Amino acid sequence: MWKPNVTNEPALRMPGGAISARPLHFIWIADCSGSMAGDGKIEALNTAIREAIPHMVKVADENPNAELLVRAVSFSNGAQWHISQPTPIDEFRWIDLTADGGTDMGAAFEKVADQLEMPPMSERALPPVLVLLTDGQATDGVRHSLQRLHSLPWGKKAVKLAIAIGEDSDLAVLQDFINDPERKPLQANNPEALIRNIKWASTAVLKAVSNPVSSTASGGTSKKGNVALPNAPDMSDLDSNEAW
Amino acid sequence: MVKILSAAQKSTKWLELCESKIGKSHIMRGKPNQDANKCRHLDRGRAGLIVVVSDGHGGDRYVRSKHGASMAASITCRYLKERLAPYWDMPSAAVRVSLTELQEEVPRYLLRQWRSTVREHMATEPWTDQEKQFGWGNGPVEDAYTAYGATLLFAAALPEFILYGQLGDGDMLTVARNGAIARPIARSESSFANETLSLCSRSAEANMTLAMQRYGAGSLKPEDLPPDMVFLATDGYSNSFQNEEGFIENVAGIHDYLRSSNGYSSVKRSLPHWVENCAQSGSGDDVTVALLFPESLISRTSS
Amino acid sequence: MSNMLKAGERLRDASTGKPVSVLELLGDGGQGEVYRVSFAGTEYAAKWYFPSTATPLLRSRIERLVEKGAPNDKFLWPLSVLVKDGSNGFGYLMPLRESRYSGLSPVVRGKARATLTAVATAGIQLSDSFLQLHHKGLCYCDISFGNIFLDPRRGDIAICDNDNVTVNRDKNMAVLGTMRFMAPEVVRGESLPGTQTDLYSLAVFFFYMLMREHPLHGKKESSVHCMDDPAALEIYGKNPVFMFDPKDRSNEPHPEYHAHVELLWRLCPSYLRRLFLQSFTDGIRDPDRRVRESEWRSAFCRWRDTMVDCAACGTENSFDDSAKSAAFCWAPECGKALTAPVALKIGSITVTCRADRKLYRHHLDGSYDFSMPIAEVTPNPKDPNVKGLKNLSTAKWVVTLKDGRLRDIEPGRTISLEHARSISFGAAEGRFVHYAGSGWQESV
Repeated sequence: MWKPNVTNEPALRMPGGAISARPLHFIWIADCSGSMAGDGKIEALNTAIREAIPHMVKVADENPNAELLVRAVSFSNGAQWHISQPTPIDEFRWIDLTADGGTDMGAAFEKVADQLEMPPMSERALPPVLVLLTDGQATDGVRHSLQRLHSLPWGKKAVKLAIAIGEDSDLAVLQDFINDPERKPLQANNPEALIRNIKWASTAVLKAVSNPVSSTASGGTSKKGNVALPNAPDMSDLDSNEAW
Repeated sequence: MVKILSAAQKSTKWLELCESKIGKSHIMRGKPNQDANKCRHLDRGRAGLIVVVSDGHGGDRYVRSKHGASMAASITCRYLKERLAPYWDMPSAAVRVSLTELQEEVPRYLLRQWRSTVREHMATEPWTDQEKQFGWGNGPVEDAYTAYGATLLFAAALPEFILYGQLGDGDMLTVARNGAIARPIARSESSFANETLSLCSRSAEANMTLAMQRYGAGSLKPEDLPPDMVFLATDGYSNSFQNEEGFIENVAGIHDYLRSSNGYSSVKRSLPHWVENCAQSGSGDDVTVALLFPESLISRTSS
Repeated sequence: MSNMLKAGERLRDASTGKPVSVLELLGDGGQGEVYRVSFAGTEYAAKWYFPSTATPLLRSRIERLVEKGAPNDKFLWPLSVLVKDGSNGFGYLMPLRESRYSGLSPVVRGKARATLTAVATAGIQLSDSFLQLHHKGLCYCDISFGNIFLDPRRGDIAICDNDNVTVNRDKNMAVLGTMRFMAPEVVRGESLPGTQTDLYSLAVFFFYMLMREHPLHGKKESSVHCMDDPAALEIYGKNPVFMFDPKDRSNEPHPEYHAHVELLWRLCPSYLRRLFLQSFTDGIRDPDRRVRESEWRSAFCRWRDTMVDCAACGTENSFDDSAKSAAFCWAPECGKALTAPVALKIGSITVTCRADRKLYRHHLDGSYDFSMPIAEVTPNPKDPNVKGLKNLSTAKWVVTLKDGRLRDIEPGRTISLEHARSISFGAAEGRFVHYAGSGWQESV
């Protein structure tokens, strides 16, 4: 067992590769279709994400063993990386999204799947967090790209959340994306709800994923996700006057 | 000639170094060292050494995993000592030992002992109100093993062979005299992104895997020598490196240090710092590392 | 770690002098290491003995085994002795075991799932193979988890480590391995291994295969925390009591540790249970009362012959036609009554005509030859729901249809099961029957 040093000689330099905190990849998957331009939805989305950033910085500070790296992919006609480099949260600056075009959700899933392959993902990462934000129905086929995403080891382990903005969203597709019967899509029918849901997704969830807790493998038929998430935010006090 | 042969017949004397530190994330959440008391060794003097590392699960609901790990470590040491007794004392009997037989028996009796010890603990230590919040104390006793869940890693070094065993995540590597590094037990696919097999799993017997390395005592050929170093660690250690290569280089580096002049004392001095480094700046998890190596590794260099 | 041989090294076949190349180490045991090698363009396995084991006595025994030849193709038998230039060491060449084979231990632990048909097939092949081994005056002596393998899907077996095979009552035989499969008199040191002790070991192996537990592991074993030599001596040698001994309940199954055994014992057909009872009551004390291989072979054949697939859920079930009450599907989610499909009754044997069913020579005339099936159940290419029996033999069948007309079925032709009433195979006659409540009745 540990005994005090008998000499004052310094410790040897630790051999091998560098030590670092485990990367935690957080990816916003944002709908920028034409319908998001109406009723102030895209503005509400931009605001909500900006609001969440300082809270994410705080969570990151409280969990220094996880290196929080954030980026975003947007989709309308096709999909592209809105912020492509995994950015440490204290350097992360949001660039406002603008809305116009279709809802090529499948293309966005493909882009995310590309980044969840190994490489570029490392084996020692913490489970990534993927947050899908959409107000409507996909205009491209999503089945194939979702299958691919879910077949990847990191795709399986990622915590996948979905926030439906307004009531026109196809909840079935969102549930398919989440791929966990115990986790439902969150519903945001007004800007306040959107802010609250996004804050939850980016802080409470982040805190749960950051902690290196080993848990027993869910063998057999149980389909529980591997991360125990806190309860979804309480929306009971929000009135739905400003509904979409 | 005869003298040299009998010197070679003399069993390898094994030494160990072990270190354990609480992870930064656990300190911040006010949790005790989940790895505490889980690195045990049993010295058989000239005959050999058993080293066991058990990692209690860190999630909130695993409220008694510290106990589960501690029990696992001491039970495993005692059981292996008893089961392998014929081979400590009569090395020539090792020709009879069969890995297939041990693979059939060891998980069965180890799990049986662990479960019965856990049940005894549950009977004498009722669930506290805080523990009940996670649902413990409500269902059948068998489901409550989960509260004590832990992984298991062991290496038992005997005169003629080393027996390795693993259930769940964690790393166990051997370094040969020529520096070649190997895993005696292949990594399980389930151990990925914080999921692991466990002593509390129903399929624990089926999933505990053993391996054996024989080395011909009485032979001086390099390939017949026992490993130069066996490295055991909880997953918090390797998770602190950016990739597998960095981790393997680290293990190779530790071996290099050990066999250099004054290696034993400098590694003994440095190991706590390295382990602390990982527990604080790396994975942030509780970290335990154990090294097992023949005394000849040290005396080779100090002469 | 301690590889005696390196990849690329050359060995020599002792009889022809031809070279054998070492490819890679496959595994090791107490006596030596096994390698994958190449000889005359084909891959084989080779065992190379540790210096301490490589005695002249062992070498001459291996040479005798090479000369005698394998009893059948299920034995991965020594084909020739191997030597190395400049060394006193030796080993032997044998066929390579394919990767589809699994040891018994993974099956027992639940890691490898074997179908009922596969288990029955393994039972047939193992009893048949050991019968042939004993006919040659040889005994295996050392059954263990490590040396008999089975394909969990097809049931084929592979018998390895045949270097311990020796003539019956060989005084030079050393007793190796653990006590688990040994006959009690061998465990106690009162007797050497031989054909009678092989019969006991075979029975233990079969029990493990069907019940996934050792027959002597009841309450007595449940209090064991470490199966060291004294504990093993007690349970397997000094005080052996069968878990299901009707007269001695002291070693009943433990409700927690052996729950699976109770279930499997109930599912086991009565004619197999009888053999286990005999093996582990009288058979424990009296070697002459042990079940013979031919009895096991008949029982496993009968078991395989009467297997059916549940009409409701498709699960394989044994259909114990000796039981008085109707049988139910054992699958926990199903439990529905089993309806036996059409079956063929040939003499005293009844064979259910499920998909892939094959008929062999013993179904007709009692001589066992599994190398060439004489018939198989096969679907109609035009309509897979319609099944027929295809003539795989060299003789013509004469079939009597349900309406009384006769049809000739030449080799290669198939007769629809629905329309046939009986088949004359030449050597024997079979009638189509179906199971109705209390027994098999002829189909009209």
